[in-house]
Amino acid sequence: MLRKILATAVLLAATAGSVSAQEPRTLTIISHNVHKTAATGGDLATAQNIAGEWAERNNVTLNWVTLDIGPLHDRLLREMSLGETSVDLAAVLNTRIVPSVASLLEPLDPHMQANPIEDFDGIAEGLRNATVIDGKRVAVPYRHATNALHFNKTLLAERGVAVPATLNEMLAAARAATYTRDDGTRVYGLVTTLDTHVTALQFLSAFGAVYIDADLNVRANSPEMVAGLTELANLYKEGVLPSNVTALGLDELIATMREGRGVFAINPFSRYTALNDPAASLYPGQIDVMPFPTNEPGKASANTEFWSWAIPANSKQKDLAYDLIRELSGKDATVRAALNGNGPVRPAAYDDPRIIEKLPYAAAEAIGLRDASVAVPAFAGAVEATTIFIEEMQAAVLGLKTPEDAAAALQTRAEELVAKSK
Amino acid sequence: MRRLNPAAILMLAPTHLLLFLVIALPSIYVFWLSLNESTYGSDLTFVGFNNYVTVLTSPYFWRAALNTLIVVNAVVYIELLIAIGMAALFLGGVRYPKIMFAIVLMPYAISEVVGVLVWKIMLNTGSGVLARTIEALGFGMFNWSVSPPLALSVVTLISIWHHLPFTFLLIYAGMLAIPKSLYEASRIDGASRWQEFWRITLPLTVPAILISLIFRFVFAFRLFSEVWLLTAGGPARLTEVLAVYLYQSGFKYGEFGTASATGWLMVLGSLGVASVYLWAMHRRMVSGND
Repeated sequence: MLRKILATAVLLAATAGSVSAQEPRTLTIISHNVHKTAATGGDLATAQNIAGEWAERNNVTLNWVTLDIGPLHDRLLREMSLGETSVDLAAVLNTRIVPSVASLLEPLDPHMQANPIEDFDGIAEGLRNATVIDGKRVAVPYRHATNALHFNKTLLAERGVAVPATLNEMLAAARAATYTRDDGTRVYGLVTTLDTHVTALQFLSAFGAVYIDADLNVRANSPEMVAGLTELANLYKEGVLPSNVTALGLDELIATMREGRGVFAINPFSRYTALNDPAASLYPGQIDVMPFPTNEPGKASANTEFWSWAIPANSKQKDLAYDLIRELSGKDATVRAALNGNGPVRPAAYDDPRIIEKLPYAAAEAIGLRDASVAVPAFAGAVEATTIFIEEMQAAVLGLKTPEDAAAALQTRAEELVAKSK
Repeated sequence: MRRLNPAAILMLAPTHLLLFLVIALPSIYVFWLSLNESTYGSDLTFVGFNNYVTVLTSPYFWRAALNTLIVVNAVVYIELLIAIGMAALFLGGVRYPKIMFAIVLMPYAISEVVGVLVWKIMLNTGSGVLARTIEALGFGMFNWSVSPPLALSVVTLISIWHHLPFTFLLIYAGMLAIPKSLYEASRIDGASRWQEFWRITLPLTVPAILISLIFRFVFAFRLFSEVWLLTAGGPARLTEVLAVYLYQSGFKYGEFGTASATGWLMVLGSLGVASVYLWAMHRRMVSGND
């Protein structure tokens, strides 16, 4: 009898063990929604669910926590400051990968030596180098957002304006395409978000202006910066830029372009899909994109920001998280994510026939990426540097300061900040 | 004076313990943090009152303080005047009182974030129904987002709209508590409605007014979501209020020491404003007991 009871107990224990072994593990990922869409396809009809396929193979449930850029990093940094965190994998913006943050991230070199990422050297070198801090790899580049010039072909034709090839032509076209349509709709020649530093720096870089270079030299007080700020202020004064440009958010920019209230827009290449979405845009297929022109023929100006995957050092499932990074960073996964609207960090992806066939902007983006430089380099004061830039740039655009005074103030304040951060 | 017996102390202890744990202890920790340099991934470094010096010598802090002072005073006093007027109207009797009461309370039932975003959409310069209406009426483009005075006016308007029901309820409850016999006596003496309001209603509503002033000053001092969602402190940081300044220090730059110092300065500021009314209330209570 006792033997029977023991045998039953052993059987029950074994069954329970096998049940728990089948229970899916949960991997929590904190990112912006764009990363979820890139990895899973989101609601796209042609979704490539790369992360979902990996999760199914490994019996893992993915728990996505998607937040806007500021709250995302705030939450992540707080999580990483704790004894342990439930966040296993995180998307981190390039300006946030600084030594103080890197110390809270898992060094990935041992993982990569044990299980290398397929053709890791195929990822753009600049991005790879920017994710190594104090000799340790702390993140793997995943997405670039390189800015470009989107334009509504229908509205340009309506105004009899040709697609511009140079910066000066673009400025003239934007002015000519600022008008009121027959139905009373006010159309702005150029739409951009000036509540953030990236798109404004994109515009200014077309004039040759640089805020802080890769070696942390502040170069704000330059004739190029003054010329760019002066042009921005003039465009605002003339009504070419929307009247609420300093408060205009990304959602509003997208809506403005989709509704035909804007002709040119500064935004990343990958916004092409959203702007031409037949379900939401009044101009599907009519909003084209090109590298942001300069006055030097054949030379584009492109500011870029990029995101990387990183593992919090206090995560409990580092191996599992690394395995997902490995999956998402593979050559084929990079192409499939690009089809989901991601900016591929492997230049070779642009030569893939699937991308050439499906993404009309692929060739232009490859050119843009070739000429791209980061908007603001990563250093301890990078976030504050962007706030200072936005403040002085807005003051110049709204006429609260002269462009010369704004550029001079930028130079002084950024120099103090860089010195303090060193 | 009655002395508390041990049983009463024992019964009060859980409440006091709770208050200590959720209010006093975090406040003490924040004060300690304000005396240190602190950011993500680094240990605390004691810096004494340096963070207070940093904050108090920052022109952005003083601009935010001035903006806060202007908006808070405008919100509290305009809201109070409207609430008194509405409560007097309800006291005198309105048609369909239940429906009217529900309408008055409605803004308070709406989430603050949702409310502010709806206002923002309605006031969108290019496509908002209110902004377009204002323009169509010949007042010109209502371009509030690039004008700090207009933006702060919009913040004031939305804050009043959202919190008016709270003030109204306090004042109306105070008016309802006034004995009817006083009004009957005044009518026998031939007092007009205006005299009734001025000589009976208003003086006897003062305790409720003082309480609502204290509450609203303290709440309004923390004003954040209206400004953050409408302007995020822009353009050019000209519409920042103290809570936005604190948020930028703490959660954007990760400077917890200066953010904590700002927090304590805000507490002292709101305490300073509220103490005037607390003192007035105390005096009324003392004189009432005499």
